[in-house]
Amino acid sequence: MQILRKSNWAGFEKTRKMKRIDIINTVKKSGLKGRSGSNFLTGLKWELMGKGTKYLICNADEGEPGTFKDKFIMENNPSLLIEGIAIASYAMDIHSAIIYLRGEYSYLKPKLEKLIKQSEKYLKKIKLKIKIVLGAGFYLCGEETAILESIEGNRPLVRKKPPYPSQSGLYGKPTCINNVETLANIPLIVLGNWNNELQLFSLSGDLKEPGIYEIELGVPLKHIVSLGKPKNEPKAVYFGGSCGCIPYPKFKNLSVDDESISEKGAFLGARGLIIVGENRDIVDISRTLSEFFVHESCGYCTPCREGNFRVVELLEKIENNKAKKEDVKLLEQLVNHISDTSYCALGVASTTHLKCALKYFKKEFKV
Amino acid sequence: MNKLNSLISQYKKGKCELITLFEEIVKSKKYLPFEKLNYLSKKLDIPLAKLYTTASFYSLIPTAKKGKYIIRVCNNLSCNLNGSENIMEMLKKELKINLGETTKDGKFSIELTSCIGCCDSAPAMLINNKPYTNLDKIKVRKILRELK
Amino acid sequence: MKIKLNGKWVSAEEGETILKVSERNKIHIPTLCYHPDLKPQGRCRVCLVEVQGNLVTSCDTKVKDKMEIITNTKRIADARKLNIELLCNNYSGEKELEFSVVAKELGIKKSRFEKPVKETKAPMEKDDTNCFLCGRCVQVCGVVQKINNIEFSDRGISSRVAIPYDLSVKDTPCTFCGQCALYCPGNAIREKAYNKKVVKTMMEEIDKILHKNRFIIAQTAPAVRASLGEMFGMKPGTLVTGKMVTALRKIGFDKVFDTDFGADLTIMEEASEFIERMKSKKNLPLITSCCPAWIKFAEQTYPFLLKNISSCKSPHQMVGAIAKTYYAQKINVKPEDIMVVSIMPCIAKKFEAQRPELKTAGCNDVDVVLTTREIGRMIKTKNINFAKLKDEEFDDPLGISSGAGAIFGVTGGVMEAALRVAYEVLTGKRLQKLDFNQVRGLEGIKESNIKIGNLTIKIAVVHGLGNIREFIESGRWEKYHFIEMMACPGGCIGGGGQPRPTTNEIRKKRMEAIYQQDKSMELRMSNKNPAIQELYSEFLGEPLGKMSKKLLHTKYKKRKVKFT
Repeated sequence: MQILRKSNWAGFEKTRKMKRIDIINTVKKSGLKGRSGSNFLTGLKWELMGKGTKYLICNADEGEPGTFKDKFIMENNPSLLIEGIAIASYAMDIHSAIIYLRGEYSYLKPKLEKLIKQSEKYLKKIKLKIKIVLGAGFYLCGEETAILESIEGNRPLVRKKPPYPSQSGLYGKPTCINNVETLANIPLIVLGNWNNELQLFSLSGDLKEPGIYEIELGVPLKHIVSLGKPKNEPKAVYFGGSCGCIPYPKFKNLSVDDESISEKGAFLGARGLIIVGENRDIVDISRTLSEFFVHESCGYCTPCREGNFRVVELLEKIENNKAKKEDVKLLEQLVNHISDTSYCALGVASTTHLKCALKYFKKEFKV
Repeated sequence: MNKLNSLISQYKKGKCELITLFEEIVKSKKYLPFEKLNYLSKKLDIPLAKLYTTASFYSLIPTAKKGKYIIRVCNNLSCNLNGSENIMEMLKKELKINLGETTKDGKFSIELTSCIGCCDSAPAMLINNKPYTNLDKIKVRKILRELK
Repeated sequence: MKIKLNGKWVSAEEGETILKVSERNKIHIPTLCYHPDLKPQGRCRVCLVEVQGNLVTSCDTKVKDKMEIITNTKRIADARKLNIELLCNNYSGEKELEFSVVAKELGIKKSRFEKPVKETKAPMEKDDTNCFLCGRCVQVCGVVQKINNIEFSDRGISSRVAIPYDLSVKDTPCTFCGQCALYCPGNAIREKAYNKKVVKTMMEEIDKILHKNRFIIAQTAPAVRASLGEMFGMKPGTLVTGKMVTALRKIGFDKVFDTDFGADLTIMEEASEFIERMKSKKNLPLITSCCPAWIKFAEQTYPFLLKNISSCKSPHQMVGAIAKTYYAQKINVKPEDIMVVSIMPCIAKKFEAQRPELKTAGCNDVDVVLTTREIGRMIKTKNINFAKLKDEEFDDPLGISSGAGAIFGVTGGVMEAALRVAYEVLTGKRLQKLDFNQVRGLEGIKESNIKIGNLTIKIAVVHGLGNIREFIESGRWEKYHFIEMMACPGGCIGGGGQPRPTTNEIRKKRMEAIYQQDKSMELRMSNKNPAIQELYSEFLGEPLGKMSKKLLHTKYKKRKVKFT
């Protein structure tokens, strides 16, 4: 795997001889985009950073259902991540970096801390301090402004943009927030011979061999699914919890890249694929996913807080054959309403899975 | 207590985060008792309600008393497809408590958790932040026996 | 800049919100969590409008040059409606409440979501089924009053507004200022007894007592007459003194007295106290004691100030004490057979009336405190057509009052009233210009030097607990001779028991009405009030005399709460 290559600080040493702007340009030219699912051009994000004291935050709050690639990197090649943080900090003239590690991954903290200590001699050269802040169990802390609120000690609610973190982020200072996989790729980019299309996919669900696979974007869906060895004929593929689904038999030859998936009404997101077998009930799956959003809604705005709660209620009704025609209509209305009127991106995305389910599996929502 | 006080002075110097202070208390007490939070409120000069609103928000910072072992079962899609509901039912039966409750001897609490990133070894759960994966009935029984 | 609003180009300023520009152009957008005095939050998602095909909340979205905004499509109407519908399951508020008004406007009679969303936990006088998590109470308690007693707790569908650890409110630093209740659009936070059932029992109770030949006295605070009309659709700032008296007689009160009388009495005592302290230079500054929320706040948070606070009971307690002694003797009724019901703009007065130290002749000075909202509801329940009532006068003798008593209802009023008397007592001359404009207005902390003869008196007037906190903690309080403190923004006219909605605009209107009343009165100084003069000559003797001290003064003590 490309991501398991060792750099042993060679990338870092190479950049020390480069101008900051050249490092940023190298990253920009490489075409690296945020691997959290945001797909924002990383080099551009770096370029947009304001002046003065600033922060780098490594977003290790991987909470998307069915996504565990960042954990994979932190377990199997964490030094690449630390080196990536160092290069990014150097390029943006940052001297304070924070790894925001989700509380559920707290067992990874001692190992990472040890590694940071061992890297001291490199970090000293650029006067960089890296510290780990543990999250405490909230999905939305993966959203960049919610991380800021969490670190600042507030209720981790999403901030209204603008201002963007690149201008006013942590404690009001310019802040760059990059995902684990994004940063781990930096040393490899600097060293060259790096393939942007090779990305980590988390495969799980009704599979005999779930796990992390490094796959080139653009291969047909059936190729990816076959790697995980389905237990039976797949019925649908879900892209995490918030990025929707597509029916498998119909789209097994679909090229797996952001554009092609978006065309079908879903999103590739953080490349977490949950394969659902032919024996599964889509309404049941929808309920499980909506329960997740009820659990993870912050409660700030009406549509997400109350709406998703009612969505679960309606799905239960359908599952128990107690629903009437109006209930399905109301469900459809709510699904659009929640994404139309919610305060933040979590609310907006919380019904994508149902939009897709209603588009492709409407028959299962029977009354 | 000494660790907490040293963290408090670090916090005042801007070297430690509030959430870390909460975690330190939870580490020893398994929850965030009123007395401790009120102590923080006085030391940090932050209104209690401001601390409580933040603390009560997080799933990993309980504000009510919990068992010595907090079992958090993942019921997200991948775990659900691989039988997490059976694991949950079994835990309830073995410990004779419901979701969100604590056993009479104060040893175990059961909670649900969002995805813990163990989807490739589902079903999975955390016990006091340590992951247990590829669960089945035999494995769960063994884990409980060792902890009891 | 120019923006296109429903197809028409209109001008707008940088930094203005869509809601503000729309209101100016007479385009009405329904709102719920928005309140003009508070920071917009965009929580409820009712004030939605369309910008470039997206639905956005107009309360917290700022306009941009050439922005095109549409406010009236079916899509917008449906979305607004559905959000209200999601909130109103199990809602049981009365039709005058802000939430009811919005729901009606959007044409919602019944929600399709019926089951209650959450279990009801009632940490305060709070009913979670009528709470929409608009966050106004949290903002007003934290940002305006800076008490920080309530906050959002938990998250998602379990979110609720609560006291930390759901502690009982009596253990908390809550001062019962009631601003949380005043800002609530759905009556979820409220004073005890404010609902149909309790009001009904209350009336039955009063009927029963009437039956038992107990003598029931009502007294009304200065600020109530300037706001009660709003409960019956009258414009803010309408004075309804006469109608209020008539209504209270119709409800069945035997006598209707005026707390303004008590205010005059307070001034006699407090002005004397001030002069005494000025002479002895002891325990200065003197700080006013009329506001029970301020008193509780001081007892628990600033006990070192207790020696500075005037020992005067608050005006309605004084009226109660006089009613159960002087007046009881006059009409030959036993004190225990008299029931005093205070009608107050205040929730903290309910707490004050129950203080064990505020007793006279073995009875509580005041038996029951009702808020402006509660009495308004009682009048409605009795099917009294308030607007058509004739004006009647207060009863003698505790119904005679001066303009100085009247202005107790606004911030600066107690100070002004005291200064009027202090001037005459200290100089022996007649005061020519009675208006002290330096102490008027809604500014949070008002400071001034007042020349009385060859004395310069340094005074400060502070209202709103947030301002009080700032004022005390900055240490500024030490440099004054006399300070007036009122817990509610605007003073009693903005009290926690006043009609909803109350905004700064409405506060101003009520304030104007009260100053108008003072101006229109011939009697504008407490010491000139003939009923007061008679009370002293017949019964009390001298201000600060033995009898006065016994009946009209009290003590404070440090109060323990679980957290501050």
